[in-house]
Amino acid sequence: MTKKNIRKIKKYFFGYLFIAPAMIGFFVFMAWPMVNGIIMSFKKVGLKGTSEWVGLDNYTTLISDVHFLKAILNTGYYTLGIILLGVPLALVLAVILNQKLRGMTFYRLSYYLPVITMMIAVSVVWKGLLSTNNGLINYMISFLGISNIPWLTNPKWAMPGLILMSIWKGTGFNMIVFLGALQNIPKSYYEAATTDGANSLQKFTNITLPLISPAILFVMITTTINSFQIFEQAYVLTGGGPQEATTTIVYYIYQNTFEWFKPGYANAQATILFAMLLIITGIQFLLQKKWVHYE
Amino acid sequence: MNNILYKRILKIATHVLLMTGALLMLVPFAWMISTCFKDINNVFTYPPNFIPEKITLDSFSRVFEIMDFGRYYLNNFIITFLRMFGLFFTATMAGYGFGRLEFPGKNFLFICLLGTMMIPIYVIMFPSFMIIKNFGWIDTYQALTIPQMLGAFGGAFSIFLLKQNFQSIPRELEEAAIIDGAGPIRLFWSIMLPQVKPAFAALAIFSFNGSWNDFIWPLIVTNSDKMKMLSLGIARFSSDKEGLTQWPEMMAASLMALLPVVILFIIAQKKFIENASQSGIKG
Amino acid sequence: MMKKVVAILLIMIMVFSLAGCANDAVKKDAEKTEPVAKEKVELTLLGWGGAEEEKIVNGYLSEFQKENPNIKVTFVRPADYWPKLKTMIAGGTAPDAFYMGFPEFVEFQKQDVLLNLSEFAVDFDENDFQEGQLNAFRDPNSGDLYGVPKDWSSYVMYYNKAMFDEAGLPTPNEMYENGNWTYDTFESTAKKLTTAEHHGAAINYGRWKAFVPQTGANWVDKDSRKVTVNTPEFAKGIQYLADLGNKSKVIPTVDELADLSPADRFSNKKAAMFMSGRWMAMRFAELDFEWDIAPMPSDVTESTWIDLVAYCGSSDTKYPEETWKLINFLTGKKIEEQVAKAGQAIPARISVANSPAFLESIDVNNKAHLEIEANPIPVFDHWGEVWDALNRNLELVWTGEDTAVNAAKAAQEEIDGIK
Repeated sequence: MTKKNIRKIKKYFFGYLFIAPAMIGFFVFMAWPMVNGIIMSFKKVGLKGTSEWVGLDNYTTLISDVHFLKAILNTGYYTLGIILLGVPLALVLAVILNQKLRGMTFYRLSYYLPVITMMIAVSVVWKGLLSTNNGLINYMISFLGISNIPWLTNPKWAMPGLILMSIWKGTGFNMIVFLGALQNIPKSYYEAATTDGANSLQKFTNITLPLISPAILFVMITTTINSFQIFEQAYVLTGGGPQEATTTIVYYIYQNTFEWFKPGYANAQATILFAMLLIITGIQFLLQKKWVHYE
Repeated sequence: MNNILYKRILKIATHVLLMTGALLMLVPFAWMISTCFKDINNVFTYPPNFIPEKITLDSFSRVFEIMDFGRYYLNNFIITFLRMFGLFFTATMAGYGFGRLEFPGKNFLFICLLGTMMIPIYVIMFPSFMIIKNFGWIDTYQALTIPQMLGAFGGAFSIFLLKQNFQSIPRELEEAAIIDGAGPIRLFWSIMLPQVKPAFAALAIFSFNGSWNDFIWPLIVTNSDKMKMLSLGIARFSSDKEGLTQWPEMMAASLMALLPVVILFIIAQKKFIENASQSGIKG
Repeated sequence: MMKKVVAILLIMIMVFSLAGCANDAVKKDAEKTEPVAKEKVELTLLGWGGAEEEKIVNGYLSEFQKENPNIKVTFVRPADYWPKLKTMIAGGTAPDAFYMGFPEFVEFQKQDVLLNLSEFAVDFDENDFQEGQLNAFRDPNSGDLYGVPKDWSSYVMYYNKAMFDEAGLPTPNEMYENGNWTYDTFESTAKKLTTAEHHGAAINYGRWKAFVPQTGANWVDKDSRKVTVNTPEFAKGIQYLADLGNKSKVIPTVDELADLSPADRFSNKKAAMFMSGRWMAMRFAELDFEWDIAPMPSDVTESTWIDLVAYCGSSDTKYPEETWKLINFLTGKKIEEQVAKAGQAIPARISVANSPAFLESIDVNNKAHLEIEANPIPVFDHWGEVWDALNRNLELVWTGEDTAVNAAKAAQEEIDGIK
C-alpha cells in the first residue's frame, strides 16, 4: 500500500462517514421498503402474514379494475385542475406583487399562511365552508347569482371542491417561488426593451417568461408530483366519495392496504403510481430543452 | 395628465385585487376562529355571522374531554424536537459530505437520495410498517423519530439545500484551515459548518413544519391513543361513526393545532418565505 | 464552541430521558400491585366505541385485575378499528383479545387467526346464550367456539317525549301497543312533528338496512347466502326512506346531514325522533329533555337490524389461558349486568337480558329492544365489496337523482359481477 493510497482511503473513509447517517436512513427506511414493496406486488398476502407468489396476477387484475381506473382518472382530473388553474394564478399574483407596494408584508403573509397549515385541520375547516346550505363558499357565490352548489354530496362537484381547497392552500407557495424568480431578473433587461419600443405583453413573453422558465419547470414538476399523491383531503372531506368521485390513487392504495387488507394488490398499485411519476417527470425533464432557458 | 391618472387607477385596482385575494385567503381562518367560540346551534346561521352573539369557551374544554388532546400536543413537541435535532446532524453531515468531499459513488448515491424526494411515502406504506414491526418499534417514539432523524421521509430536501450551501464556500477558506492543521472533523465542525449558518433557519423551519403537521406516518405506526400526534387527533372526529358535526370542538382543536406553526410563521416569516423563493432559483 | 456542544448534549439527554420516561409511563399506567408468585402477564384488548365506553371498559378491567393481580390488561381503542386490527395481526403484534363483529368473524376464522376457545371453555354455560348468536361464532365445520358473544343491539326509534307531549300526539310506544306503529303512521307522525325549527325525525341514510326487511325484502337467502336486491320489496323499502327526506321532507336531506348529524340533531332538539342502536343510550344519558325508545315501525312484517359483537382471542397469543380468563370474565354475569346497567348494549346472556339489570337499567322502555324477534343477517361472501356496491348505488336515491328500482337493478348487476 503506497502512502498515496492510504491517504486516499482515509479521504474516502471520511466521505462515507459523513454521509453515513443519511445513507442509513435512506437504505433502511426508503430503499429497502421500496424494493420490498415491489417484490410484494408479485405476491398475495394473507392475514396471518403468509404470502404466496402470484407473479403478474395483481397487475393483470389491476388493468381491469374499474375502481383503479376511476382512481387514475380522478387523480388526473385533479392534477389538471391544479395545473391549469392554480399555477397561472400563482404566476399572475407573483407578477402583480413584483412591484414596490405598500402592505407587501401583509399580502405575502396572507397568501403564504395557508401553505404552512396542517392539511387535516384545514380540511376539517373546509368541510364546513363547503356546506351546501350554510357554507361560506356558497354564501359568497350567491352574490354572483349562483345557487347553492352541493360541493361534497354531489359526485360532479366533489372534486372541484377539493381542487378549490387545494388551490387555496398551495398557491402561496408557488407564488413565492415565482416571485423569487421574477425578482432575480435584472431591471436593465426591461429598460433595454422599453428603449427598443417593446410593449408590456412583448416584455412579458420575451423577457419574463423565458427567464423564469426554470422556476416554472420546478413548479410544474413539484405540483404534478404532489397532486398525484393527494390523500389527506379525500380522507377527511369525502372519504373517497361520493360515488368514488374523490377516490384518488393514493386513497385507493390506502383502502386496499388498511381497510380491505390486500397489501400485495396495493403494492402493485403503488408500484404503478411510482412508475407513472417517473415517466411523467422524465417527460417534463426531457421537454425542458424546448422551452426552459438557463442563464 | 392622463398617464398619471391611468397609473393611479392601476395602482388602486391592483390593491383592490390583492386585498380581495388576501381576504379570500384569510376568510377560512376567520370562520374557524369564530366557530370555536360558538354554540353548536349558532354555527350555521343564515346569513353567516362572524361575531357570535354568545361567546363560549366550552368547545375548547370539550376537546380535552373527547380526546387526550394534551397528550397529542406533548407528543408533537417531543417528536418534532427530536426529529429536528437529529436531522440537523444528519443533513449537515451529508450536505458536507456530498458537497465537499470526494469518494467513489458520490454522484450515484446523491442521485439516489434525490430520488427519494420522488418516492411518495404512500408507495412504501406497508413495507415500512413491516420494517418498523420487525424492529419491534410499533407504537413507540423510536418509530416516530428515528427514520426522520436519519433523513428519511423528507430529509432529502434539507440535504440538498445544505449541499448547495456547502459547495459555495470558497476553496481558500478550506485550504487555509488545512494548512493550519485542522483534521477532517474539526474542519467540518469549526470551519465549514459556521459558514452555512444562514441555511440553519431554513432547515429548522422546514423540518419543524413538516414534523408538526405529520399525519400519514403516525397513522401507520401508532396504535394506542397515547402515541398519537395532533393531526391524528383531529382526524378522530371524522372516524366517529355518528357523524362529523361537532363543529365548535373541531374548530377549537384545529385552532390549537395550528397555533404554534402560525406563531412561528409570524415571527420568522422572512425565513419561511426565503425558503420557497430560493427553491425556484436553484430549480 | 465546546460550551455549545455540551449544552446541546445536555438538552439531548434531557429530551431523550423525557421521551424515555414518557415511553415508560405509557407502559406503566396502572399501579403495580404487590409482587406475586405467579408470572406477570400483560394482555392487550382491542376495542371500539366512544370515550364514555372506554372509561367503562377500563372500569371492568380494573375489577379483573383485582381478581387477577398478576394479569394486567391494556385497552386500546384505535381510530380505525378494522384496519388497525388487520395490520396488527399481519404484523405479528396481534392483540390478545379483541372485539369481533358477526360478519367480520367469517373472514377472520377462515384465515386461522382466531383462538379456539372450546379448548378452554370448561365450565361455560352455553345455554345462557341465544343459540343463533353462539353459532355465529363457531367454526362451520368443527362446531368449535371461536368467539363469545358479548352484547348485541337492535335498532330502535328514539323519541323526544317532550315534543310529543307538546304536540299532543300519542307516543310511538303507545302506537306500538295499539298495533298502530306502521310505515304510514310513522310518516304521518313525523309530518306532524316537522316545523321550521325541527324535523320529525333524523335518520342516517347509511342505515337503510333497517328499513328493507319490513317491506318483505328477504334479500339474503338463509341457505345459499345469495344476495338479491332487484326486487320490488327491496325497492319499496329504499324508496320509502328516500321519500321521507326528498318528498315529505320529514327527515333531513343528505346535504343537511353533512352540517349536523342525526345524533347531533336529536341531542339539540332539531329532530323529534332518531333511529339507532342501543349504544346511543349512553351518549344521551346527559340530555336535558325526557326521551324514550320504541320498536321500529313495521310494514308488511315486523323487523329490525341486529348488530352482534363477540370477544375473540388471537391464535398467536402468548397467554391463551389468561386470554380465556379475560374473555370469560368480561362475558360473565357480573360484568354483563354492568354492561346492561350502563346502557352500553344488550347483554348477550339471556338471563341478564331478561333481568332487571337490563330491563330497569335506564329509565326508558328497554324492552323495546327485545320486542321484535330478529336474527343477525346471514353473512354472505365478499361482504365488504357487496356492501360497498350497494351503498354506492343507493347514494343516488338519497339525493333524489334516481329511483330505488333503478339503483337496485344497477347494484344487482354490480354484485353479480363480483368474483
